[in-house]
Amino acid sequence: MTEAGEAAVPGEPRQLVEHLFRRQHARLVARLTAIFGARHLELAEDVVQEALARALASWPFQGVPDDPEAWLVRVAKNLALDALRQHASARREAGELDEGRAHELELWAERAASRDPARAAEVEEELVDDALRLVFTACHPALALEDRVALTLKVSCGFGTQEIARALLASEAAIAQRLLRAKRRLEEQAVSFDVPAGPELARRLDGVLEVLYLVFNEGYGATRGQSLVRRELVEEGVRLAELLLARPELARPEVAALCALFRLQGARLAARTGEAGELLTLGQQDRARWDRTWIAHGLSHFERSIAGPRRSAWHLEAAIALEHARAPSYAATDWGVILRHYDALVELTGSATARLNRAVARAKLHGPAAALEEVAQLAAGELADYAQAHATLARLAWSAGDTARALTSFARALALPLSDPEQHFLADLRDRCRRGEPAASF
Amino acid sequence: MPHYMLLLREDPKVFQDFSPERFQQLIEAFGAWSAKLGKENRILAGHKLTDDTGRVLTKPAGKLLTKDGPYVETKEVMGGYYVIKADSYEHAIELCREHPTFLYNGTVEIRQVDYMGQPEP
Repeated sequence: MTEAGEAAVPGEPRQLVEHLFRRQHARLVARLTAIFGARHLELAEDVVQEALARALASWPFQGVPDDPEAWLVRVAKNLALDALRQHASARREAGELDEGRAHELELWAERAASRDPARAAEVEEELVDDALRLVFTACHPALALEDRVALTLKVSCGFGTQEIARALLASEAAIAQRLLRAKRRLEEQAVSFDVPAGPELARRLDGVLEVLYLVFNEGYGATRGQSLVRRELVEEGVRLAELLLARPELARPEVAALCALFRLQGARLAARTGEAGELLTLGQQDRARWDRTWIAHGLSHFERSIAGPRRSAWHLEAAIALEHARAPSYAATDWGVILRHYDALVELTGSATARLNRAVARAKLHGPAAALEEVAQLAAGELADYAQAHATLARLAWSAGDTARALTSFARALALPLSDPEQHFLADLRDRCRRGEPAASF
Repeated sequence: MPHYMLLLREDPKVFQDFSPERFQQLIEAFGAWSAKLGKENRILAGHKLTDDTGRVLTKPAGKLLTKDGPYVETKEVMGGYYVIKADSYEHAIELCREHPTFLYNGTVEIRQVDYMGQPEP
């Protein structure tokens, strides 16, 4: 009880660490799922949600506690015990959530509350372990790829449904549906909450990397959605990939390559938009705004990635990003090296977007005519719904002096979904093309 | 200076869909609000109330009756209260203008403590 006259709420609020709740949400969900089992992921989420709600209901009056994490652990533990009791009495015959879990919960809360540094290190280790198990569970191949991306953002990154919807440009209802489907599937398939070992690991790891790549790309790729959300997706992609890399048994060359790609590309994020939020191409970017720390991390990851024999698509993409990072200026870019990497990438993956990018590199080296037909073919076929394909074709045709074809392609690109900055960028190019101005440098 | 009681009511169901980031933003908003008042030593007390509806007592014909609080039929619960110092109702309203509870459709009821002509303690 607060005595009269004593301020119940301190004058200076204790500052919360940035994203504390998001991090803590992910950690608690991971720990509780480790105790409950993967099929009770939703129960773990409900418990953690309730713990955060309790914080909001009480901290405004009592102030932020000295150790907010410990407070949340304690409350989550108590709520989990309640949930366990309810569950146990409702489904005793199932016998899957028994009192043994209660003991485990108590032990965990005790460990987490310990002030002993050796203990704290142990707890931290356990947290990383849980986080990795959660990533492998959310990225399980039994789930559809789009469901995996949504679930990873929800449970491993602590995003809300609305934030995921905004990040993935989907409706909230669609995201809620994906999350529900994913959790039902985990339950049906009795997926275990573990990092796989042995031959299973390689396959499952690829599935994880694919999801992380999509998370990163949603943030980095198109300049759509709110810039804040985008940056957070990029940072989450990097954080999770580097979490994998920090584990010796998971630190495979392709993981290092993905980390290198994220860091080298992510370094350019701030430079990709101008003061008015307009899109800046690689050639227009102020390279002084590239993040040198990220590039340094990228380089060291890249060196690690080439230590082993395996060369994955991530290696090639990282090598391309590295080539851009080390060019002192756009004009000094070594397009020959980049073209060779794209050749290898196309050979390895056969991906249409890789072919599109390769065509751009080819145009850089040999002029627009060298790329025009391949891009036209892609834009008419596999990439017909991809605005960038039409935009690329438009710019190539414009450079080659074929204004009519350029204008048709600009129109096609502009008719497809684009972010506002992209829309402005392309409309501006189209207007200049229409006025008969010389083609913008490619 | 007069004392005012701020009674905060909210629908706890709205918390169900909040993202962790939203929880954090709201707690930070509360921290900023109470820090502002705390700096001017305006907050005399502030407590969360338990999540039940409380008890309402009556004693018709000498027989004590106990029933659940008045909010059992509504979605809202009284989540907590503050006692603050302000110059007037208008001033108290001004101090609550940016209260974070409005960010999730909560309500603030302001009641002046009546010291009945005696100086405030």
